[in-house]
Amino acid sequence: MSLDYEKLITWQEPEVIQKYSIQDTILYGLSLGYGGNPLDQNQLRFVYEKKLEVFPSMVTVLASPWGWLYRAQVGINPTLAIHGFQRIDLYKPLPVAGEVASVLKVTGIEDKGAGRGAIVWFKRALYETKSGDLLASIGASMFCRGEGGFSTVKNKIVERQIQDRPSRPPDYVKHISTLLQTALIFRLHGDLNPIHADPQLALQAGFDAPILHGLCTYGMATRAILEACCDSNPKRLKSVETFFSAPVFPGETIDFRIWLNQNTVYFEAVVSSRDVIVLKGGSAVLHPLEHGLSACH
Amino acid sequence: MSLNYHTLKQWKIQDIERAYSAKDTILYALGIGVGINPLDEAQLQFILEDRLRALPAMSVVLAYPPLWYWEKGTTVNPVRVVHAEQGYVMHRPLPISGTVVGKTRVTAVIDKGIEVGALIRTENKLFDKSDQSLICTITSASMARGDGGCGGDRDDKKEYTYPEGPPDAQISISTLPQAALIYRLSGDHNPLHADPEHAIKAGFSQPILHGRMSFGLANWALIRTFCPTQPERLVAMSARFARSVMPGETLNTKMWCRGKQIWFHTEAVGNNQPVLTRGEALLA
Repeated sequence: MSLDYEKLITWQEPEVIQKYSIQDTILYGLSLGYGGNPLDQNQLRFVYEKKLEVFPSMVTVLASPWGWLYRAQVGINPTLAIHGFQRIDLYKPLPVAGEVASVLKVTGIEDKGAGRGAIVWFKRALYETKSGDLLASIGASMFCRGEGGFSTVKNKIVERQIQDRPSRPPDYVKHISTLLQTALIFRLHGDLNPIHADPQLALQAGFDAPILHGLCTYGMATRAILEACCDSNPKRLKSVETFFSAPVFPGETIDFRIWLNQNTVYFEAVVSSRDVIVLKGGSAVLHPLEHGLSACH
Repeated sequence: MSLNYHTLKQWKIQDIERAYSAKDTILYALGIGVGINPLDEAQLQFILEDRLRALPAMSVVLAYPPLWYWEKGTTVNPVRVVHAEQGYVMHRPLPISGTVVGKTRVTAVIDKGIEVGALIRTENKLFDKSDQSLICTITSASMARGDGGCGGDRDDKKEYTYPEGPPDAQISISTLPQAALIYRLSGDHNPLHADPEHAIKAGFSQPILHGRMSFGLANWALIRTFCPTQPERLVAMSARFARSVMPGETLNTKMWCRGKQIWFHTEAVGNNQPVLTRGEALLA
């Protein structure tokens, strides 16, 4: 079945409203590996209710219409679709518990040609329901490997292209180990796609074992940036984006290579044990260091 | 003020109602370390909603009255109370989600002498709210170390010996450094298990694991050994807490089985210090 361009580009996904609790905020921190050193205050700040802060990339898992692309029934084979790109722009820190809402909009569909796949771009703004304040905007793409060649005129909409990172050796390398059960923890945020949990289904999708959620790797990249460049202060983070180039398997250690040019961060991520680049073309923008914010180190 | 046997024995403990979801059931299993082999079907049955089962030991955390002896008027010196024993008897399998009501009463106050303290036994009956059926009877004992010499019920200490010979099975299960932080999301938010400063004030070098977490871990060890595909067959289990466990420690459980009766003993690998003693369980 081929991709139904008209139906998808005009797709109207209903608003998702989600209440979240302090437990959810803590669980998000734990799913990124925080608490692995349970005596480190810079980890406890994201996993213990005393002085708790929301880890900023949690916006990616809140009020999300999980599975919308498959429910839409626009001719996409879900087992061949993979997370392509992710970006967040952060406008206001989230309260540790509250209620948020967002509406997803499809912003572009890119045809890579027959046999080469299609890329679906979408976006959602995350609001706090009580105040109406805009908290973040979240952009992403899904790379649908089975659905290229749907357009007669070659569709060249490209929302974003991979940027070059500095050619010098990285300024920082942060190693973050995932747990064997990390995907099983991460899925409690709402993405119940069995490719992250069911060994048989993962095999059918062509993987030796269930794979980690792209959003989990993304959250860990955000963590690596905060630890390397911002003394773990989440308020310094303005935006983060990256392309996904290969999946991570639970239990693997990810090396985040980070370059810092003033307030712009470039990064990529590698699983050294398999010598595979898992995140490519990553960049982040930091708020300038002001009085009262801790220095980079 | 010292412990008043009659006041405590008749103390009215508030009923606890708790609604729980499949997500809570999964989080409980993850909290005791299930999922460490994410390809093992015997573990995934406690983690994936399409085949989900509840570990029977989750019954003991669902609707117990946390720290009721801190209430004004119990006459217990709460600061020196430690969790001493835990047990359950299942009357039917625990549903994977629902609403339960826990009704707790004090069943015995045993004077172990001034040097040791007073052992306060409680019984918590866990009911399914939807049909009022009894799911589980939970027994718990706490040692009030400051309240020995209070007089009270006769000592109920029973003889306990393992069967002769080496254990029939043993399993080592490691805990994560963040195990207590995950486990506490199942409802026990005592800062002793998370806050390093609080732990030091309480006399520990760092936050300790929840006693009920080691109980749950032993529950899983027994199920893995004796009824991996039928967890509900482990219908009863009890043990005494011998010492606290630090997150990151590996716990080894030795098990003996004669017919349907199981004996077990859990100790920390490395220092061989007992963690759970006088362990008993029953297979249906």
